[in-house]
Amino acid sequence: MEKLERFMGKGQSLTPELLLPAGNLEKLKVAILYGANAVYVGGQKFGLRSRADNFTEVELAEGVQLAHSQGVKVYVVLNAFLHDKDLLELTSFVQYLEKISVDAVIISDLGVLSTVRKLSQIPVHLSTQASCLNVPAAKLWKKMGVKRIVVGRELSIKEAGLIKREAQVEVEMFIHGSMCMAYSGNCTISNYTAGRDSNRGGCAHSCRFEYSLDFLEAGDSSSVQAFFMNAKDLQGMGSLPDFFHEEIDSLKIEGRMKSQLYVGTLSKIYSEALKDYGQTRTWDHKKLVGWERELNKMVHRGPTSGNLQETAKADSVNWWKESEKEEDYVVVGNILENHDQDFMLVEVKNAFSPGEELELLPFDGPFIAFSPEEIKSVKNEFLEKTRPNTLVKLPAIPTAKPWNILRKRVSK
Amino acid sequence: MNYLSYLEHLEQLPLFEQMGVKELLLGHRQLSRLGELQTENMIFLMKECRKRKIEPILEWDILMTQQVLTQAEKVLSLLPMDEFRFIRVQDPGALQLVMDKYPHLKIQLNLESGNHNLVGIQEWCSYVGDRLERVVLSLEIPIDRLKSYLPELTVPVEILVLGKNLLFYTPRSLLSPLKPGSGGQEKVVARAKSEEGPHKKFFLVENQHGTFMFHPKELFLLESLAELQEIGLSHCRLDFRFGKTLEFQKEILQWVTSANFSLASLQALKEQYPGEVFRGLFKVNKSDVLFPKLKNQHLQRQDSCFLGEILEVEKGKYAAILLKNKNRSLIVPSEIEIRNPKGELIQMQLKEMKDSKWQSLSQGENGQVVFINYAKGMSAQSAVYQKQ
Repeated sequence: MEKLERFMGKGQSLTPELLLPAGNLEKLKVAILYGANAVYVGGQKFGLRSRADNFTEVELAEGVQLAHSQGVKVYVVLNAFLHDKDLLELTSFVQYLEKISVDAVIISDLGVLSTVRKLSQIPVHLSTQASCLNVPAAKLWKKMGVKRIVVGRELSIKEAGLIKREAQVEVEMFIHGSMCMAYSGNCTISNYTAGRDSNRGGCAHSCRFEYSLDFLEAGDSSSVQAFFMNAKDLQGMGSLPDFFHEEIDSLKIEGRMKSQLYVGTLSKIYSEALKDYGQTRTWDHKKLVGWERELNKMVHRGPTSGNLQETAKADSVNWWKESEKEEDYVVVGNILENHDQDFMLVEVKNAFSPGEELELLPFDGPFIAFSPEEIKSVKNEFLEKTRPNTLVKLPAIPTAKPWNILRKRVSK
Repeated sequence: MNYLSYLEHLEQLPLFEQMGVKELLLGHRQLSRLGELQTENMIFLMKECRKRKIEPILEWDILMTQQVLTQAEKVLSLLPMDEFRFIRVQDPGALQLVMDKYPHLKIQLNLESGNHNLVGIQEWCSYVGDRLERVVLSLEIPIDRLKSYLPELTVPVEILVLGKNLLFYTPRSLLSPLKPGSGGQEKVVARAKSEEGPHKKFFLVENQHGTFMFHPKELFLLESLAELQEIGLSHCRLDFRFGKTLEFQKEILQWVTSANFSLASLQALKEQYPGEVFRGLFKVNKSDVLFPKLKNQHLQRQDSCFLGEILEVEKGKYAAILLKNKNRSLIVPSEIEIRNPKGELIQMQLKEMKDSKWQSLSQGENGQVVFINYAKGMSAQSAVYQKQ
């Protein structure tokens, strides 16, 4: 049974899959519990986020087992542009991935695609890193053997729908998260400036730096300082009906290096929105405002719809970082156990005190605000303040479940 | 060795003809990333090339959304495509379109982005088949690997040996919004200096296709031409765009076609170069050297004997473990090993265990928090394993 039911009324399209990033096993669990019906993960090598925790082989097996038990799919990224020696190391890894029954691998390199198809029957998705942007390119990649294309973020939803229909291939689109300013796969700044291959996991985010620009026209000595390559973050909640209309197969959220709070919150909000629209096929504006308000509480560089509706304009760039926003909330902990009528055992991530207003993120339903009157240590001693990396006991909330996230507002 | 370049102006043609250049890239402003030729001028230059027995190659290297591709097809329909024999493409969509709709054209496939292994390059060659006339390989492939590739490839190979090194390509206009009075301007040019690092003088161009950022230094591999010739490279591209005078172009072409590759005279040329030069990643590419240092391996579970993670420790008293293995319980009595973040291994005989209500437990399951006696060296984030 799939985690998120794919509603289909008469003559209606399926609800798109909601695909969340999982930087480690804990985030995978959180993504699933909060409503994702697919997750994408990286092994220790071959992906584009070498600084993420990533999964050991044992963790991959465990993650796949957990996900499948909940009807959730797991896609493994192999989307770096690999060099020859990397391909030699890939062989055993691909065989292992087939053994543990991953649902697909995400590739961007034709050498990797060829290797995967020679060694296994694992379905292959084409990464956005390959910058597939048009119908003939999609047809080419389909001939090469890919089952799904994660189209470049330069495309509108309408163009993506055209690709799906004309190329007869599954299409996945990013709906939320950080964006590269360059065409994916077409930036090597950090290769030369930091000795880190941006297309093999070492990107130094040079596009986020501030630069001084001197214009070189005759008679023009103007100069300016700006973060001129600093793209705002994508936020496509308002375009949800269009994704349905164009029958986009999967909606992807960026962020394997983002926090557990980010993963949990986005999984919850987008899955609720998808479920709601999937069932009603009408857009409740009040709900939309509420969902967007929650999304904007997360860290971001200023939300933009990017190219989803029309070609992105100058206001999609965060020129002076004026749109950057820290998170309004910080995670204070995870519920580990709930002994109903007695206590909840909480793993503390950030300090909080008795009487402080906290919020519990349930897997379903609205956030629950509460202020614990007392906090005890595991030895039942009263505490005036918690410390990170400790366990505490809070008065039980009957509906709380293990892995529910607790958060509190950040005081500014 | 064959040399080719870009044709921007008619006045370059006599020089190229004199120097024995056999092919020239023609960049239409709607099809080429940096080309500026309008249709009429392009057709004229194409014919002039033919008169001089120089092969004109149509360059179509922009990346294209479906919308842009549709416009590009219209441009192609206005060109005398029958009069071209070769086209150079980079977007896979352009490749597929040419294969489907222009069966007479031989294809030069630009693989400069993202094709850094032989298997992938060979797959592209196989896909295009006998329509493929040449592949253009990446500047990120150092010479030792290039040397190993050449005998394995059945088509001629080309690399850039002189000119600007593209680092970044976006469809966005990133300069004109910052330049007062640039509205309507077709091209904006700038130099960028990082305010957060030592790098300066990145060269930037914004045109109708977006914004391009180049390395501050230009690629200069002429000292290695003898070596490249020896390993069997067939084609070298000389990019004279962006301010190389005709006189300078002539001196470079004279040197490369002299075939004795005198390093003494080359040094003089290098000193005349309008800007700093470098060899890029040609000799060695170590841009992945840093990656293994970025993670703490001790924190990652290593095998199926993993039981869980220590969340909290009170020295001398207890350690709290969150059990995380669905397939393995923690049983009392048993022997366990704890690996702390420093990699130190602590062996322990587990004789008692309690749950979060401080009640004795003989078996702990996945998802449960259990409490065991403290042992020296334990700390939060330590990994707990069943001793094998």
